[in-house]
Amino acid sequence: MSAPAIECRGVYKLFGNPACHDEVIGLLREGRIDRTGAQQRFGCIVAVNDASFAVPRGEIFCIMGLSGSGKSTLIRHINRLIEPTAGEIFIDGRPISGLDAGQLRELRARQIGMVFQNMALLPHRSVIDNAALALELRGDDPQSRRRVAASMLARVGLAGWHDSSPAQLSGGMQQRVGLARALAADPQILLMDEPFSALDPLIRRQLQDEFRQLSTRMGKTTLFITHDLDEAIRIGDRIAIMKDGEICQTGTPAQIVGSPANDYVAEFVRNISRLHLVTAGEIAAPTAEPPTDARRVAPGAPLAEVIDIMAETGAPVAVAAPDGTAGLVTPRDVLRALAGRPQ
Amino acid sequence: MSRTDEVNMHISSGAPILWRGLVAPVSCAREGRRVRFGLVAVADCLALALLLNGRFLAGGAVLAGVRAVLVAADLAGFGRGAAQPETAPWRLAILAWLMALAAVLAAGLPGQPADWLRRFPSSRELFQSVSGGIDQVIRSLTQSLGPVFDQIRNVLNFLISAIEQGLGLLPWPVYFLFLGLMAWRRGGAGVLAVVWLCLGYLGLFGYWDKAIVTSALVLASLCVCMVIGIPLGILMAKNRVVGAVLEPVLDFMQTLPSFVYLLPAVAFFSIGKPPALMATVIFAMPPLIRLTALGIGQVPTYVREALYAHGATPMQCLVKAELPLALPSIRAGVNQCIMMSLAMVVIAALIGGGGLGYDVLFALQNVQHGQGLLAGIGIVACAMLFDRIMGRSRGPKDR
Repeated sequence: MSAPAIECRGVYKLFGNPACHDEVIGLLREGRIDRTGAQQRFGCIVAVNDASFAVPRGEIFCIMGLSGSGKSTLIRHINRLIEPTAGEIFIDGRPISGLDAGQLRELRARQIGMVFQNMALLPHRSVIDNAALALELRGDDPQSRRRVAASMLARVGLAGWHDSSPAQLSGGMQQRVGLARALAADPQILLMDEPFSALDPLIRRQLQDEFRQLSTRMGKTTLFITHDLDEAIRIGDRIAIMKDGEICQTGTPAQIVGSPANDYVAEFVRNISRLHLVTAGEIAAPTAEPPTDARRVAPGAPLAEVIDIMAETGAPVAVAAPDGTAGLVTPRDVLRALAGRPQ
Repeated sequence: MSRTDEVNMHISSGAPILWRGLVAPVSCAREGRRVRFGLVAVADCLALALLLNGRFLAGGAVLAGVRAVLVAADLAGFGRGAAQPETAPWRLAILAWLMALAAVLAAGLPGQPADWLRRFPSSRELFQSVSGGIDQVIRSLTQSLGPVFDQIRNVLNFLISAIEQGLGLLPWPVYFLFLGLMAWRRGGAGVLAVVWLCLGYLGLFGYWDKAIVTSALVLASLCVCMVIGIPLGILMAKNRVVGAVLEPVLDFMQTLPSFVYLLPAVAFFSIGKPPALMATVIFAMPPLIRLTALGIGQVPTYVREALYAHGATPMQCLVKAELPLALPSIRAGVNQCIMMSLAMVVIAALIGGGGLGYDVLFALQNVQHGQGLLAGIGIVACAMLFDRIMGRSRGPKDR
């Protein structure tokens, strides 16, 4: 089995009062102090508290948390814009703490692209020169970098805009430039720091869908930060929920929504639509003999499909698994599932 | 009942107004009204001094007047929200007030000890030893570092004369054409007219050569300022220690009267154009350093992050992002540097800077009003030329 593209093991990040960092981390590891205690007793701010996760190649991994949860700090550890206080980050199984300045620049210029919430484009440069930034920084020649940047701009739908200045573009288009800039160096990993949060809802939705397609088609491994659980569910293959610097649950969207690990996560998922997350197999009551006239669906069919059939027939729907077991979904099961009540 | 309520009660009822008028500083201090306390306390000290001097009418008027105003302000409810009774260390304030009154009283007594209070005991010896010490240091510096200063002098001299000769070689129509063209590009016909008018004035009144001398000094100063000031500004923005050291030095340089700069310049470089340039550079550089540091400091963190995240070296980040984004601020610094150089170059005529400043100086010494005024207008013409050509753009074309 190949190593995961990104892996964090026991990452801690503390701010303030460097003298007592080691002591605080020791206490945190033993569970004898919490975030508030660290701030009150030592004046240390615990931004990231024992974060561990692994992202296999090609996966889109979302980290969702509210502001101040440490998610933006955590993502900056992956390309060492921020150094961890303790713990280790691996890219393709290689620890990155040992890289010297030159190797780190290589890593950033060739292997990891990053997109920022506030675009961070250079206002004095044209769109194409912005998109070619990483190539320019690593010393590619002007012709080849213009060619690559142009093809990336075409991919994100900005073909005719090469010589415009960023200020002439709308927010959504600016973020497309940001994406083209991150993709131009053909990195294997994309770090997305709340890339769509500053955009209006319609554009955001459009970009989410486009990004998901693009990332899957290009086979990028993506770490995606967001404060919006809807967005995480739309985009992510897996989601980690972060609170107060800690990751409180990691799982697929269905796992997170279906079985939240604690009250905090449950509070978040309460208002999430289950139409596309809950499957017929999960809510079906086992039965030996489903009625013969009932319509049949596969266990993996989403709730939305079951509802469509029910709206048509008004009768329970049978769920037939390939291994022969059968179940029955009644309108009551559907309503329960929609309300997020356990069976 | 909180103290604020208590105070408000006192203010609103009739009898305490009399009381408040009598011990005004005490009540002001207790209410935490700092400005009123300060004004009343100082007025009381002044009134006491007047009374002790036998000027009873004036003293009484101050005492009564201040209280009348205070009571009137209370009755009008003026500034009621400003009171901070809980936070003010009012006992300390009253102690200071009482001590000040005691000092006024003691100074009013006849005899020796009162003399000591009336006039600050200055020390002539201390002054002379310190100023003599400074003389000593400068003398030994000029002796030990003489060759170094000579070298600097030569370099500066070369710079000034190169610029001066370069400017002097061009015949006057070239200035009309090129400066006119630049003015036109900057702001159209209006700016062009101003520029030609200034050039015409300098030429017609025979200030052309002197204006070139002055301009050469300003441009030389600008060169030195940019070569030293911009890197220093960058360093100041990047390094907290450099910033902390440089900040008070810059404050000092900017507040010291400009004439004082002439002294060390003369001490180390004798008289002539190099010391004039030195004094000008010291005077004109601080705003350039400050504005460069400001511009670099204002570059948003996320832009820096974006550069580093895509593999930039610190140098690449500086050249490709920070300096371009700081450019408007640096430009403003250059503009200020030019204007301040021009102001100082005129003063530097005192130590042999020459140029238009010398004409003003000469007219001042010989009480020649007409000459002095015309030379002064010549300096204004120079300033306007620099500002319109190199200053911030005003025209719509630049946007």
